[in-house]
Amino acid sequence: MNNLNWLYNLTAFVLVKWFLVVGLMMYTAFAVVIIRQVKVMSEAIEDEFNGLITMFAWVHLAVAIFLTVLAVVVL
Amino acid sequence: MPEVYVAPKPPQSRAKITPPEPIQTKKEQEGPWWKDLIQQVLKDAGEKSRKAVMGAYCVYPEGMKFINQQQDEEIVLLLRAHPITNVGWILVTLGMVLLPSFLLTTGMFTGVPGKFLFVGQLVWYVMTVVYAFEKFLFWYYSVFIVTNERLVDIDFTNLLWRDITYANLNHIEEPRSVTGGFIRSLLQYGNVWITTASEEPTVEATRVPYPDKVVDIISRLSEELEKRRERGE
Repeated sequence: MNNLNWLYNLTAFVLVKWFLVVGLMMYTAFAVVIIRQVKVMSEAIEDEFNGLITMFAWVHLAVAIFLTVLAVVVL
Repeated sequence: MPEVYVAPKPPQSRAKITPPEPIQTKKEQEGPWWKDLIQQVLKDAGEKSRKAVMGAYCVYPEGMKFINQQQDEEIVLLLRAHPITNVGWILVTLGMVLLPSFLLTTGMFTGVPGKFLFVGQLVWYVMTVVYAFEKFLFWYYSVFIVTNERLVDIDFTNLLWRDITYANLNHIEEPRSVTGGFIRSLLQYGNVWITTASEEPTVEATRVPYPDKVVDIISRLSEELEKRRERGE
């Protein structure tokens, strides 16, 4: 019976938390794809704003990782 | 055995022999021929080097390059869709920014713990920013370029999906511009269609500013190149 204790403690919010965490992990993968996308785009046209746009994509990846960690820790 | 004959050494000049400098013709001193051609075409079309319509209409821009650009090739026009075409996604973004505040006032999240609301809002706002960022990227990097040699249409239709069409200015026929409707006439933007003799029959620049000027510059460039070809230059 002890093995099933975790099942009794399972609430809707715990489920939501882990759904959110899995969703955020997928979102982090998407953030990596955006970095690749920005690279492909900035290869096509060299412009003065390319550096800024690339930096934004990296900041976005950092934020996505931070949100995933935040969801695991805080929720 | 002593040597009977010793060949005299050739006289060595101490002065260093430097190769003669190549004689530059007047034309070479002035610069490459295509720069003059571009300047002449822009002058005839009543244009000068400038960026207008929030970067959607760049004439002879400096410091810009595109993929597979050749050494003797320079960008004459760089066009993006008119900024007004971004209004749709900007309004959606504003709606997404305001939505959480609106939903909170309805009281539908009263039973939700604060930490879930906090993280949920953060995730929502980040996704909103990325939605806007993605839309901006597609607008910013989907360009139509006119060089002194070719037309280059760079389109990004999807994530990581790049579609680049090249059309040589020597092979184009019948450039035409299409403008219609109240907003397009008011803001002076429309489509440019260029028929080519290749398998891909048409190159198009959609919703670009000043389509008439674009067609004018393309026609003049094409004509000048044709003249050069006839002269055998």
